[in-house]
Amino acid sequence: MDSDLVSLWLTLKLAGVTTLVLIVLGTPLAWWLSQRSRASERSWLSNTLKNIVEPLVALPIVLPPTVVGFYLLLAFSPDNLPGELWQSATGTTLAFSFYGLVVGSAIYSLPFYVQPLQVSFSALQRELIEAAATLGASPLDRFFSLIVPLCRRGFIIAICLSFAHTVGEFGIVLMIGGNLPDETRVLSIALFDHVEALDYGKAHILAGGLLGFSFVTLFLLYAVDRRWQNGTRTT
Amino acid sequence: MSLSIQARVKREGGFELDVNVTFPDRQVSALFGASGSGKSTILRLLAGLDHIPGIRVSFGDTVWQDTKTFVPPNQRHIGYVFQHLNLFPHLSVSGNLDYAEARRQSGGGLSRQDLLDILNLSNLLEKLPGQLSGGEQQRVAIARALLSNPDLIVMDEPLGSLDQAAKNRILPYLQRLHRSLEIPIIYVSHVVDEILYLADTVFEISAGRITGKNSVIDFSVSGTHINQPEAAAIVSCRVRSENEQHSLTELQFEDTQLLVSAGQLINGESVRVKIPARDVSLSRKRNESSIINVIATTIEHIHDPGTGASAVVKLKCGNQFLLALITRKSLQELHFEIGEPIFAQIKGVALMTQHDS
Repeated sequence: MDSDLVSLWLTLKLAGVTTLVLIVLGTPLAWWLSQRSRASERSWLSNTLKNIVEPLVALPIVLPPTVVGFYLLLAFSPDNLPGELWQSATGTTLAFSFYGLVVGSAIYSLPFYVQPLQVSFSALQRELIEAAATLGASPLDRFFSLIVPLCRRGFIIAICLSFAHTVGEFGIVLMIGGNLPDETRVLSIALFDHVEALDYGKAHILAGGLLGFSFVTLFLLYAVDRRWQNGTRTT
Repeated sequence: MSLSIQARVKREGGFELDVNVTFPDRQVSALFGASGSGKSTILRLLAGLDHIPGIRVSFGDTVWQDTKTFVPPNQRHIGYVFQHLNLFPHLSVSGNLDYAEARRQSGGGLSRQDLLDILNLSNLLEKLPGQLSGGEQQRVAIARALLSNPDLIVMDEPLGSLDQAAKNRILPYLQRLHRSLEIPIIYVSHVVDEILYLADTVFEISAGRITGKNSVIDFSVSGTHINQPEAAAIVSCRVRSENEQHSLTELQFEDTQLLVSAGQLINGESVRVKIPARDVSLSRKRNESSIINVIATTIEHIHDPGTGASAVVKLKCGNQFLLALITRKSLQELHFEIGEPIFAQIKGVALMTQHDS
């Protein structure tokens, strides 16, 4: 297969798996962050913890990807605990592997998933949830029957942004993934290779493709946003 | 089954709740008090929506909350009607009702069709909440709460977010519901009119404490609200429909009669009648007048607020009481005295459709 097609497949797989990981881990995190209890002694600790975690989640927005990549590279080393645990569990190293990229991408795209969802959760009318509770819906039932449909806009935005952001990732991949065909050479890396080799024809295809993809994603996202905003304004 | 709450808690901002109440079974118990008196707090604690340690809530033999137990709200089977309109905005009226019906935990109670009929919802089913008026939304919310077949209903100022016209339309629905149900209803309001219309027993609450517990009949003629313009006496009468003429039905009130225009009353049945204080005037002689209901009473008490234009006179007739709203000018000029016999001329008599139990 053409190596660029392999890169395309790898990129989509990485973005897809990363988004799935974020849905599973980022959703409860966004919910937890959105639930600020009114000031009382019992909630002081929880609020303080949220005050610390919230900026931590946002860090990847401002940090150079190479900084995140550097620390991850250290963490993935079998000399350090996370890398050691991974190696004893799987027999492979995390650095320069696809799953290493998934971990890096999930951390790097975390704010793009958590923040829109957190905003959406915070805007929920608390009385709706309470009404569902008095009607006999358990907390999990309330989440799937009420909170997910009411926050569908937040979910769509969070999923699209984290997927697109992972597709566009470069620095972190370079730091922790290197450039291994079929394993870590995603589109943005392949583009870099073409430019280095002065193969501008192939570079144009990849660059143009990524540009088009990003534009279409954002265009659709704004369209969905406008439409659903109108649809729910009556509430 | 009766519902009890014992709570002695201090909340931030110095608000203290100190109550020990048992609400009677199969009745409408009203919690009456000003905003901020603790009414809603009590309801939220009853339903388990707020979890404050150190209180005890029980329903019949089941403990909902004490030092060891906390039953979450979804396991308490309470039909909760909130003050703010809170239908699920993404679901149609039908979808909102389905949501409750799918989660009901026991059979029985009012059926979906019963509720659609009583609350007059059949032609709204396909609409989204955003397309309904406030009154319609609140009727759907009431149907939704009842469709979960609750063991108990609590209503937190359910008419609070509605305008007067919508209130007047919805009150009769609430009364019809009350007659179709055999479960306790706790009704919270600061509006005297709603309380007089719906309640059987009234708990007055002030600054986090229960300050009075009375039947609605006693409540209507006592307490601080009787100086308000909407004050009215609720009295109990017996229907004597054999004496029907001129489209008027005769009601036996103590040892005298009241004539009301009301059809289809069962002879001998006991009914409640509301007599607004502003519709009662006083006269020392039995005048020739267009007013048909004139009753001999004695003056029990005079509430002169000392300022403003009007005062309230409490009148005794047999074992029951009436209120008359008169100007302070007349009060001074006519020199009414306590114990003095006086004729009450009653211009308005409203039959409360509610049956007396």
